[in-house]
Amino acid sequence: MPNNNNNQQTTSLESGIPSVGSIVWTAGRTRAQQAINLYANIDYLRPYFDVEPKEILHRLFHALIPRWPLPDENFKPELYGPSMIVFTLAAILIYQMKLASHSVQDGTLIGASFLVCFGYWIGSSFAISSVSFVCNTHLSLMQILHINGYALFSHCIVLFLATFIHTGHDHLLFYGLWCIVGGAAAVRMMFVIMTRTINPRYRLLLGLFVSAIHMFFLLYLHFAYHELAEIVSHALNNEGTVPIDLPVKPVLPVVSRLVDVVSQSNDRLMARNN
Amino acid sequence: MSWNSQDFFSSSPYNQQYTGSISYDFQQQQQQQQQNYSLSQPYTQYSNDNFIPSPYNFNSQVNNNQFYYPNHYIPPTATSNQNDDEPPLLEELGINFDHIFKKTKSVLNPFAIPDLSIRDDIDLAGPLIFCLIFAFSLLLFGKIHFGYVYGIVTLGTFGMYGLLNLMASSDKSCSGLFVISVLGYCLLPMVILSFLSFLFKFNSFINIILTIIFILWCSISASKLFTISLAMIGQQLLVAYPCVLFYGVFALLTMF
Repeated sequence: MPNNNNNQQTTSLESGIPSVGSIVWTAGRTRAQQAINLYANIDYLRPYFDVEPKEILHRLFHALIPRWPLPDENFKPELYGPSMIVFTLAAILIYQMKLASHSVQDGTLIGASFLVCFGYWIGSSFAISSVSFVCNTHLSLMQILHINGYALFSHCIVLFLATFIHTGHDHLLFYGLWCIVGGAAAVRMMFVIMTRTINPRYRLLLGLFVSAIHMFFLLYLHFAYHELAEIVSHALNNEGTVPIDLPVKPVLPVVSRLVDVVSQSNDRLMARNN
Repeated sequence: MSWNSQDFFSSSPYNQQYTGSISYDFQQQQQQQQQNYSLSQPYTQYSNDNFIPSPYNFNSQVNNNQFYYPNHYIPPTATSNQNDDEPPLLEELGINFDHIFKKTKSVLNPFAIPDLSIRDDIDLAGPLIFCLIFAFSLLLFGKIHFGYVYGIVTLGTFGMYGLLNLMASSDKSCSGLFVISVLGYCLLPMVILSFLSFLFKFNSFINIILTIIFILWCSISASKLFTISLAMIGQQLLVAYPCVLFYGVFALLTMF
């Protein structure tokens, strides 16, 4: 056998027989392709994208209505609606970051936005799935992804309204929307998960856990990416010299005054805190 | 459906499976080569051990008619030129102006049914030109966003390619080049919006309304082409929404 190997290496250059390196590469690529086709086959996800527009609208509407589901009610999970909701949330976040002139040190705004939204959706779903496994809940990972995704519809609505409506009572509006819309979606998700949990203590624990991470994420999205825009718009409105009627009017034309305005707004915040 | 890297560039049928061998055996190949060489030998040896290249010239007598006479060589007719054998240059390059014109017309009128000939046509020249014009129009605003345009088109293409392959039926898979082609052609209204924003200063409210109209125009055109080519009946709205998000990002680039 070693003689044959030597012959192969010596004849590889002369007669064009592939070398050991290319054989290893071909075999490795074949194995990887087979593994991908076996474990990461796209056909596994195909049934979750077979939906009608009416079903999507129906589910979107019912995601905001806190209703205790019937005991024998079972739903078929799908991933089209949640994916589109997460993409929409990422788009709204990009728009917020642009308005707030938020800067990302290592990366792009789009990358940061996608990471935050998809990371939350998939990460929180896995976390809920792990805790529900411990609490012996009868929910699959796909069902949790489905519910969690549709619950993010409330985040889209709240952030969209909070971005486009700049009133004097910004925080009041946001907190009101946070409680009502975010709370409704959280309660709906909580009820669905609690229905599938048998032990009453685990039921309460899981319900509180799910609603807590849902509400805190909305708070994070607002205060991490929206705060600066509010301070600037407040300060500019109080100055009274630059009329701002709509949020799409960029703050760039007043860049020369921005430094003074921001420093004054910081002084006001310090005074408020004191 | 097994995924090959070639599937992105050409659609493959559903049942295609990889059935190649896994291990590579040198000795087998060497033996096959030796057999090939040995098989060819009988044809070189014929009766009387004379080498006769053609089996039809089995004649020991010298036949003068077999000699080559230059006068017997009949040149090709004067009417036939070398160019008849070769396709036209544009056809060879894959640029079909008629298809480009029809596709542009189909994009400009989002409610018209596209022609049968352009339904599965893949063309990258038009999309490339539209993307370049869009990026150049952003230069008029002082924004050098060629990289952003390229990145968004790439990401959007991958996303739409994955989504369409998941949503379409398994026997009608689409290729990535087709997705790029459709998304690129439907960028034309965004190019018009970009130039309009440069030429005219609208009120911000009118700006928003105009932007929404143009985004919907692009999305309806793209979703119409996708659903007709992939036979996705009743799912145009589902395909249009990701297109709205895709072209909305371009609108954001224009506005900000």
